[in-house]
Amino acid sequence: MITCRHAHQLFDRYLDGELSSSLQAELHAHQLACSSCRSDLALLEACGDVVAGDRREPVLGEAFTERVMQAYRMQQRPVRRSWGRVLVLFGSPAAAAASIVLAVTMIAPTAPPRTGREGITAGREVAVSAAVQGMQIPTRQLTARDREALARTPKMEAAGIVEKLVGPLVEQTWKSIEQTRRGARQLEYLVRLGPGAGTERLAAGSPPAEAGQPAGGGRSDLPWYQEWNLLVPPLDFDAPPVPPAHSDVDAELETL
Amino acid sequence: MISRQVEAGSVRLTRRMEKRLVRQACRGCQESARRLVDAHKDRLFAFVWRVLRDQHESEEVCQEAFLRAFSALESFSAEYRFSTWLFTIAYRLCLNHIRRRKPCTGEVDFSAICTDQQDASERLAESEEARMLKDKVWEAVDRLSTAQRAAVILFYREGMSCEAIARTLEIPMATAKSHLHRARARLREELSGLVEDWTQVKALREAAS
Repeated sequence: MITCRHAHQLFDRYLDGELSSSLQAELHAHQLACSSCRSDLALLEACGDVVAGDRREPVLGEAFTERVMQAYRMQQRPVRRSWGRVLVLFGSPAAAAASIVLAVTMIAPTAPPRTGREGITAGREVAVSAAVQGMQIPTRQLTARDREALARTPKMEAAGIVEKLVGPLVEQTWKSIEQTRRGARQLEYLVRLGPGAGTERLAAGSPPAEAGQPAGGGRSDLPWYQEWNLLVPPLDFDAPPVPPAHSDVDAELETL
Repeated sequence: MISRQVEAGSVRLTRRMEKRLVRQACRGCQESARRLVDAHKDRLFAFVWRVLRDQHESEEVCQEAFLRAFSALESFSAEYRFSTWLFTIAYRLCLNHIRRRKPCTGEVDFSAICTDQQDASERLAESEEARMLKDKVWEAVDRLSTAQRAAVILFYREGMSCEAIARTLEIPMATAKSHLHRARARLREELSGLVEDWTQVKALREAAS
């Protein structure tokens, strides 16, 4: 015969339906003799019956189904994209792609052109060297051709490779940015002067007019685009960056 | 052993029918989606209402659960019941609601619960004492933790096995069992002083069934 403590330990397994038939018989036998255990188990069974059968919860009406279906239909309807959204969705990747193309176009000429067999061999040398040094591959695992390529490659650290590859690219990118800024400043200077204003100053031997000052005097016979050419020196891409002169327009450009 | 009641107010779908409706709803069939809502809304609402104890919030959660289920029907695995999946989504939403709101007192006014929907004859047949005992049981259930309450309702009301409860609540099976066993221990502890003799328990069981 099991004790009350054992009986209580069996309650959960019994209520979960996981008690073997022999233990069930033991539990029933104990219950016949023990009113306390019988009452405890009956109480738990009663709680289960109440939870299962007492349905006094509020109920949902037909209106609920309609509401869900309406929301579902709204969800299924294709979303109309506004132009702003289209720009955000497609503009950013397009801009990123354009930047990459521009960077590659500007940077590519800096790499020494190596074509044909020479180029392939050089690539193989770098790849094999990087793999051997970076991943610490034992040389005996390489093919004969790779071992040959490795022998041709001068020893260099992995960091050295990165520096050699990335360094010129970064340098060239900075140079391009500076050139673009200089171009923008010169364009802004042109806009400030206005067509024809600089020609007169140049003819008079005076410096170009400041922004906001009216340009007086007669106009030359040159077409406007040639007048502008006189004002702006040709862009020298190899010249060092010009420090920007402070003006309101500069401040505005900075905030952009 | 307790005969677990699994019959519900709304029509229960067969597994085959359920699969077919899910397949059709997945293709965008509105009628199938409507039938799925009709078949599950009452059971789902009862579960959610017992967990949240707020009609407005419960309706909101049920609607959201259906919409989320429909929008992700393609990822539904036919290996499980649609109801299990739906209950899982609803339970997650319930937890979000509970986390968001202020801590509640646990006091429930059972007199406010749609007693008017009960059949008048049924009400007469039910003794005042038994009704009071049932209210006490629900009060004790409401004082359980959210996970324990959910486990108890899924086990007794939905007739789910411990394995199904674990899947629905997204917890290990041992944890699901532990929730259920601790819930029983707490119920016994809270109600043992209330029920004085065997006849009261018998009356309670008769009133409940």
